[in-house]
Amino acid sequence: MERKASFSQSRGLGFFLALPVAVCAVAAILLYRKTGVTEFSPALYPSALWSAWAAAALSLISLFVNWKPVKYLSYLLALYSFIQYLSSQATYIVNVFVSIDGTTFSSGMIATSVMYLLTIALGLTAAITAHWQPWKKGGNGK
Amino acid sequence: MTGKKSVRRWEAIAVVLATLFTIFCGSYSLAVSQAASINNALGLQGASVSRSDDAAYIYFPSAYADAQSLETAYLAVCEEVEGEGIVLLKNENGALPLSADEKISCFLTGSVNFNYSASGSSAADTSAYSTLKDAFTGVGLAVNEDLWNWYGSCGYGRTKKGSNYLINEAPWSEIPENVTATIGDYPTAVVTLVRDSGEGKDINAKKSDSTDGSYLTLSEQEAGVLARLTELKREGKVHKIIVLLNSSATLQLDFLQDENIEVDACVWVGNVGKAGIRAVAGVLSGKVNPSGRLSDTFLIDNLSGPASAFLNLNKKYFSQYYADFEEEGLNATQMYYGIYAEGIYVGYRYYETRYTDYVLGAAGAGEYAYAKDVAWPFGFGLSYTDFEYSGYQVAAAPDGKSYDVTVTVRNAGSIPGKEAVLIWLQKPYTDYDREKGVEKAAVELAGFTKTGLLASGASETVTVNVPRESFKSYDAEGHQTYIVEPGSYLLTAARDAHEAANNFLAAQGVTAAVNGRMDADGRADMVGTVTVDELDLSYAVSASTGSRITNQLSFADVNRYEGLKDYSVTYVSRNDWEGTWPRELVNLTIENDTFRADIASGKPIPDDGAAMPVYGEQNGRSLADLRGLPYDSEYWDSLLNQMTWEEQAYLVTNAQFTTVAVPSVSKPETYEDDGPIGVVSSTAKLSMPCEGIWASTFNKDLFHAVGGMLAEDARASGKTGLYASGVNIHRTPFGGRSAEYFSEDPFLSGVASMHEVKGMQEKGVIAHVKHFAFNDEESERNGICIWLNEQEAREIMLVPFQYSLAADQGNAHAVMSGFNRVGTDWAGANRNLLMNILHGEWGFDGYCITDMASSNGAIYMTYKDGLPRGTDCYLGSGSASALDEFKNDPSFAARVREASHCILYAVANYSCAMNGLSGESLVSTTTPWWQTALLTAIIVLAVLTAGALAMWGMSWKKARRNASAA
Repeated sequence: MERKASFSQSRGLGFFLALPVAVCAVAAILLYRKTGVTEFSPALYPSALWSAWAAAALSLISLFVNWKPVKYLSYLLALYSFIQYLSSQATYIVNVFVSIDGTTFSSGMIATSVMYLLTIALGLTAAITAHWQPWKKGGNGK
Repeated sequence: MTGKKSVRRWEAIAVVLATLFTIFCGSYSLAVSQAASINNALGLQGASVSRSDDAAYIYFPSAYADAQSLETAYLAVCEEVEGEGIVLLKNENGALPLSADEKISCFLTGSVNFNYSASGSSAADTSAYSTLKDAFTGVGLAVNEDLWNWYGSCGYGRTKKGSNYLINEAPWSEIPENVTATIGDYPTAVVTLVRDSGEGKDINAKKSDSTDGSYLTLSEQEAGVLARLTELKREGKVHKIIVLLNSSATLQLDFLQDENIEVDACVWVGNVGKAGIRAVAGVLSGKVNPSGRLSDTFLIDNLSGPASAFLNLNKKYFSQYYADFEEEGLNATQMYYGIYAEGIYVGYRYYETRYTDYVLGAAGAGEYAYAKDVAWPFGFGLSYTDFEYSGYQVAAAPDGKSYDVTVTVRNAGSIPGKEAVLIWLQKPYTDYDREKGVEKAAVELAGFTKTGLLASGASETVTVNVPRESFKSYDAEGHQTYIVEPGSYLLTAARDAHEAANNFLAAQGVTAAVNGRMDADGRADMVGTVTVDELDLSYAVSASTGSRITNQLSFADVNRYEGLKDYSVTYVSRNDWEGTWPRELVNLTIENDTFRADIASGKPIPDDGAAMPVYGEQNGRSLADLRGLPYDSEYWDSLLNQMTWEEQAYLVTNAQFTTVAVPSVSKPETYEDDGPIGVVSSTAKLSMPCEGIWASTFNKDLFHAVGGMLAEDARASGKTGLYASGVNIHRTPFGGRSAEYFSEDPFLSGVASMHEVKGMQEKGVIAHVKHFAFNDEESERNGICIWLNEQEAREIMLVPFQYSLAADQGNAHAVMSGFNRVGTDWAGANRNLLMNILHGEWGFDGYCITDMASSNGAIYMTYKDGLPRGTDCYLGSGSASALDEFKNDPSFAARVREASHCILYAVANYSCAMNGLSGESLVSTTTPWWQTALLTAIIVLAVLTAGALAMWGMSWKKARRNASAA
């Protein structure tokens, strides 16, 4: 029990967000692979996939390497992956916005976007709070 | 500042900069991939061109020196077209024209929210257009302001729920008493029934708020207002009720048979464009004598035609889906289909033929009540004067290939007016036809003209030339080509299709008195007969190209396509109306490897045995040098050899509202825009009435004038080409793009388009005729499979395209393919259609562009399928490297070169983009400012991010040192 308390007290909040970041990134990848090919988008973008995998991997690595830049890099890769994802869906998005065919955003696309956004938001939060320990007096443990 | 604070500050700066850097880097490739869209939106040019002011190089001069004179001329044509196209359908009790002192009450929200245009590629900014009230007051008529203001603020009006149109009309009960009290002072009721329509969605036959769910039927509220007005009329408080049908689509007119509704006059005005509303007031006030004739049949029951039969059976949706599409893994661009079971019996061809067969008691005709289906026939239209026809003659023309039909028209009334003279044809329906399934309509429009303005008592003798080629029919089974069978071919001059049917019956000795089924006597003296003694196969060879014509579209006929050999469609036949009427849906499945392979994308590239083209030669030729040279001139080879593979790839893949500049051959950029009834980006926000109104003028000079004005407006708006004209068929009343297409009749559509195209292209604006082919509906248009037989394809759906595109007809220099499939093949990827028919039979000398590949159906409109099979360029954002995976395939590369050839040939000879270009002119591409700005931002951000990271690192080190020291 004491060891657990000691462990948690030696890590910042960002540490505990690393796993959710990786989970969200993998969920985004899986959703993209499942729903990314549509009548508007003939193929998946490899850049959207490898960057998301890299973001997830770095986030997991940050569990062992408690170094802020790793978390920031994970966040930036997630952001890059999201932009690549949007690029791959550009035709679809244009079709929705030109409002000619009555096409709307699919639940798959919305879910993928949400997962990407969660990855990005949690990744950034994890990086910023990598050393922040609000449960400790004074907050910043290190 | 403490060390920790400094670390945090640089950390924040570095993260913000790195975030921006990532966003800009990631977005750059997206922006470049959509460069055509961005440039188009920003109005940017991608090339600089050195142009000469020398008049010798102004190949297509504009007739207008300034924007104001152009706008004035445009609006005059707009008003004239509307004035001649408005159709007076009913005029009882001397209701029209209105007298000068009449006071008008305008009813229904459509009055204050008139329909000027349509949505999608016919969209126009109509916010500043004149209102109906402006138009009425402009001709001196007083308008009930209280009622007008109430409708303007009542909160009701046309809307959409999802993709379904709703009428959402204000009920009479909501009109305040103080407003209804004013009606007595303005006792002429003008009731405007309005319907919207547009691209991307057919008009809903269900799920609207009308009495039967169809958007084209009246709502309870609309009918309620008409019924209440009828009560007031019977009480003497309202003097007359005039209904305006303000819609490009044909409203269902069953309400006119309602005993609670008494309409005195009914006028179809279509969508009116920018100035047409003045013509509406002009016709109602008598300043313009209406001379328009219906370009579509107006129906009592909009679902009564055979083309609507499957719509009716399919829960009022046009498209069906393959029952096993899920098991087969078909996507949304593959799973839908539609069957044209009606054969040639589209529009009046059905109603008049069924009527004729019923009158004659033909076998299988069954019971038929024409009056229960048709409110007013195709070609119908009243005038404020009366015209008499005399001296009717049919004689062989001196050319030996046609017949001159002559008739004298006399204005027997008291008001000057014009008369559209319509010539109709009846071909013999023979035993051979019955045996081989060749269908013949009892009435076909075969020619028309319009008199000048005839004063009271004045006469004009008009001659309409009817080519003998009009007698041909397509025999897909027997001779597998066009035939003219022996027999009697009848020609009549009649005011509408139904009068023509009765004239033909009269010529066979049938009278209403003896035959109780005939609803009016015809005039046998208005019928001329041409006898053909023996089978004539001379139309089996194309007059345009000399190539032999034979079946090309068997793959689109369920009964002939190998991949559906277990299925059959019963096409409607006059040989047995009752037995062939569609009574059950044809439910298709995919059980066959042929079908699976054909509906898949990415088919193998056909091996044409072509040699690998030559690239990058320095031959010193310029596109301007080749103006006027024939397409097959050796100089074209020399010029094309100068192009690089990358230039050709960019040219054919990046044609979104442009064809790009090609520096190696000094080809300038061209700029295109939608659409058929007005330039969407019109600087002066101009638009014309709907195409159906143009067609209703039956005036070839006006078709030409409209084309010319569209072109002038395009040029004034910086465009050199228009995605027009729209020539698909009004197959049912529910087609979404009724505003952009002319008519249910292919001949009228074709002739109107041909003259429009000529008017447009004279100005150096290339017409991109659309949507080739069989894109007669909008719903599920992205990849829907259209199944039809070859006779319907050739005698109905392709006819307007042939008139527009054939080298010896309209000679349009571009065509746009449809989103739909023909059978299993995307319309932009079928050699029979795009090569054999379009180029081979018609001699088309332009290029074929896809529909919007950027925002629709990218998954099936592939380069691999389209380019080798007849598509020449993609309306999308491509790149110089877009085709690299096919670069080493000689057949593919040769097709890309040929596509480039088509584009360059059309631009060189027919585009005003060449104005000012001589052989010495230089064309160079330019990088748009936004691209430079993005690159600059990326570089600056990269440097700043690196700097911030360095500062973060140094401040962190320093903080650690300080902490250690402490």
